[in-house]
Amino acid sequence: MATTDVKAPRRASEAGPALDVRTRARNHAIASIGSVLLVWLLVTSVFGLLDPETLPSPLDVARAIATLAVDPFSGSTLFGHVASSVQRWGLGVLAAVLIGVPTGALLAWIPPVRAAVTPVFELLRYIPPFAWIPLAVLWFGAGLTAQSAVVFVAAFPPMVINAQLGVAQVDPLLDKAARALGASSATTLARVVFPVATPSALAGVRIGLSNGWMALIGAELVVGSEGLGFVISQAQSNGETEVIVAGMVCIGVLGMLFDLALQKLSARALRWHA
Amino acid sequence: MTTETSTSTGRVPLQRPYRPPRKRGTTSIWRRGLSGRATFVIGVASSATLVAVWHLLSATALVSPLLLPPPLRVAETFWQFLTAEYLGETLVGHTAASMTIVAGGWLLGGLVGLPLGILIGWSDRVRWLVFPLFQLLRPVPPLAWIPLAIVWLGIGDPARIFVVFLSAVVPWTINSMAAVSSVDPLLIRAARTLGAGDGSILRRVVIHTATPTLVAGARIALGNAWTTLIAAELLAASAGLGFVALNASQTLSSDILLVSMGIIGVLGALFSAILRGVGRAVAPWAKEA
Amino acid sequence: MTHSTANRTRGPVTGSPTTGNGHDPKLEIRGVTKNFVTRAGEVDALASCDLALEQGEFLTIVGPSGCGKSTLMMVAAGLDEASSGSILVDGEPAGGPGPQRSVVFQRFALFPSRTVADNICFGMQQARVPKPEQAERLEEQLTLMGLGKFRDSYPHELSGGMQQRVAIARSLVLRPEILLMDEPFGALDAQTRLLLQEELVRLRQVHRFTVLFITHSVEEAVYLADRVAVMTRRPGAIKTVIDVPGDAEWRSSDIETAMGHPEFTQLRQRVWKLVKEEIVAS
Ligand SMILES: Nc1ncnc2c1ncn2[C@@H]1O[C@H](COP(=O)(O)OP(=O)(O)OP(=O)(O)O)[C@@H](O)[C@H]1O
Ligand SMILES: [Mg+2]
Repeated sequence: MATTDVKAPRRASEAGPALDVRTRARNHAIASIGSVLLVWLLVTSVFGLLDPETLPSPLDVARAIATLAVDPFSGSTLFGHVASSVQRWGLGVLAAVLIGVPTGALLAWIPPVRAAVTPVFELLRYIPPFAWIPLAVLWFGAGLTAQSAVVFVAAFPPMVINAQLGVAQVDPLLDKAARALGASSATTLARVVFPVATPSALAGVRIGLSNGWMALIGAELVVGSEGLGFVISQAQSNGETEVIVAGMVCIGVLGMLFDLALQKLSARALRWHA
Repeated sequence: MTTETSTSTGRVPLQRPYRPPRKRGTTSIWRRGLSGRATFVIGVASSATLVAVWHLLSATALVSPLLLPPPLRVAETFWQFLTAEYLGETLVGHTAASMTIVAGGWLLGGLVGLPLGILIGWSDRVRWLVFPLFQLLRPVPPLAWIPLAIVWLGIGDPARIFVVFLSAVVPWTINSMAAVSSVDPLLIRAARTLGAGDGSILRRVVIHTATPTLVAGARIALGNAWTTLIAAELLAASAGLGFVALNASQTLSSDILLVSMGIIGVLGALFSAILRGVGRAVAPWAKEA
Repeated sequence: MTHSTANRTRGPVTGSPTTGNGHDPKLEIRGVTKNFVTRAGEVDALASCDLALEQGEFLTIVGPSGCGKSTLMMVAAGLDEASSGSILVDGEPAGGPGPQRSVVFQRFALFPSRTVADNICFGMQQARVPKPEQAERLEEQLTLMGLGKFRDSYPHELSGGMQQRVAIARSLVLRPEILLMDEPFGALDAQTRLLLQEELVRLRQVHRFTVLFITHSVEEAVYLADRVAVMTRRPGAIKTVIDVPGDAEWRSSDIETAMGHPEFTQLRQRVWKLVKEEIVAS
């Protein structure tokens, strides 16, 4: 995360050893996360101030994850639920990338298309993805299609908007240069304009992936009988709080992994970028 | 002059063989800019086409009206719903219920997020301590907290306000942090050398650069809050627009479902527009994000 | 067909397959005007401009800043539409842009996501020049421009002068019939500038392309040109066209030596006076 980047190193304080800022930041992070975990552990396991129904101890949560990994919970093991979540999410965001990014590029590139699509798009994009859940269920039934559709609806707008922004911001002179060198409109778009628009488009894809993940969890909470969202809602009805927290941990970790993977990918794709 | 026969090894002549100039126009008509009038006309035409297609689909029963009611019926339902009760409230009542929760969670988010962000932006130490926790919790979507919130607070307003608060507090915090660090120390020094007093520095320099960021944070927070509230209402509510939508879907009242979706969208757009307007009013110098 | 330098002399080339009569100029700018509609209102950039360049001719344009030189070049390249008037190539309406009319832009316009080599090869790829030929021509340009070490660099990693050399190479590598250059040496250091000026003189003796060359340096304009066109202040029009004698003594020497030549100085002062009148009047 860029915002954590430290400022220019300060002079080392006279009392302490000369630690560089990065190290000090890391030490603070370890201390703060460590102490939160410690307090959590003390409050639950050691002193038993909170009963496990309200807040399970970290050990309970770890045990719950381990159990979920081998014993089926509401139909399948943790891996089964993860697999079905990832599948629905993957289908939805894949469709969103394949349709959304070219749509955004087209909107920026061809003014008549922009004029035709923008009013409808602006009207629809303010409907939150979760508001589509009931409609998706009505249309497609409570299953894979409905959930993937909700993921799509959540991931689509940022991908369109950022791809459009990226293409619109490309210096028109580059278009002229490409055409002067004999490139067709399609070639110019594919080989000159789009590469330049990629950072912005990728930023949109990144937002879309995380929106889609969030929307999927919402959709699984409301309908369906598989997936991580379903796990935590089922655990809530069973009163198994440690499973709720275990599910939340898995949701967070997976979301973070997707984001990291995309960051790595875009770093590779944007080598030319200053 | 001879005609060059190009062989596989032979050098292509320095001047390439003559090709008649392509008779393409300078700019293809697709790529030309449109006047404001043309944009408007095309927009209206495309919207009208969409509604017409929708009407035809349901009028010809190509799509069952159970799944997609004709546009006129949706409009009719909207009128009735304004005064008639559905699930214990009129449309106005459900809207008010939703807005109360959103306002509560959003304001609470600001109450916590603003000072927290300023603190994080101001002090390295606080940032080092708090930010990692923030980063740890951020990948968990706010609505994944709903089951836990229900366990802790029961099915009721507090649980929903809590979840909405979680979704709003992140942009509040991040933007107020950004607002603080956007104040360039060099700018302050520059203002000093120009003979500005402390109060005037705060007004001119700090507020000038920080306000647009803060307003943007408020806008994003409100958008998040609205989005999350709808999810929360699908799960744990007895009133509100999300609750209406889910019930309408389960009872196959697709007209009511579309009306509630429409209201949800319009209100979302309205919130965004209002805060954009506020941004323009309090910080007219800022570039629109 | 091949063009040997032997049958190329100054003036119109006879027997051109496109024109039939052989008296059409290579590039003709006929009554071109241009006005921009902006939010602030209409801007008249070009009043009626007329110019005709014979095959193989080198015409330089000088004029006060903002007088519409770049605008004229964009129109001549087919990249912008004239508000009225037309551009003719070999006597026929030129239409959209293409590699026969190659452009070096004032602001380089390098493709930021492509390496130096990819930038230079872009036009050849569009023209489907065979791969081995592409590689050969690329090498030639890299050597010529002293860019050999930077073939795999991205534009943002280059200095302004290096970027400009890439832009020039990208154009020259196509061996165009018409070269349109907008202050192509503007960002170069003095030595590279000298080098490339001489290189351009040499190249055109070999390839006899037709050049429309915009510059703000009067010396450069006189040194390179067969004719120098001076533009009026905005809205720009062609004020005067001055012939530079092709057989002048200083022709064979480099620009620094040439500048010491009285005949050259006289010409330079004549052009400069014309430009100055426009700058002062605006
Ligand atoms: N795209 C545009 N929109 C509006 N006005 C423009 C545009 N391009 C150029 N102009 C205007 O046209 C006039 C001529 O511009 P141009 O770039 O052709 O000048 P120039 O002679 O090349 O100047 P310089 O020597 O500084 O490069 C200027 O007044 C400029 O403001
Ligand atoms: Mg210019």
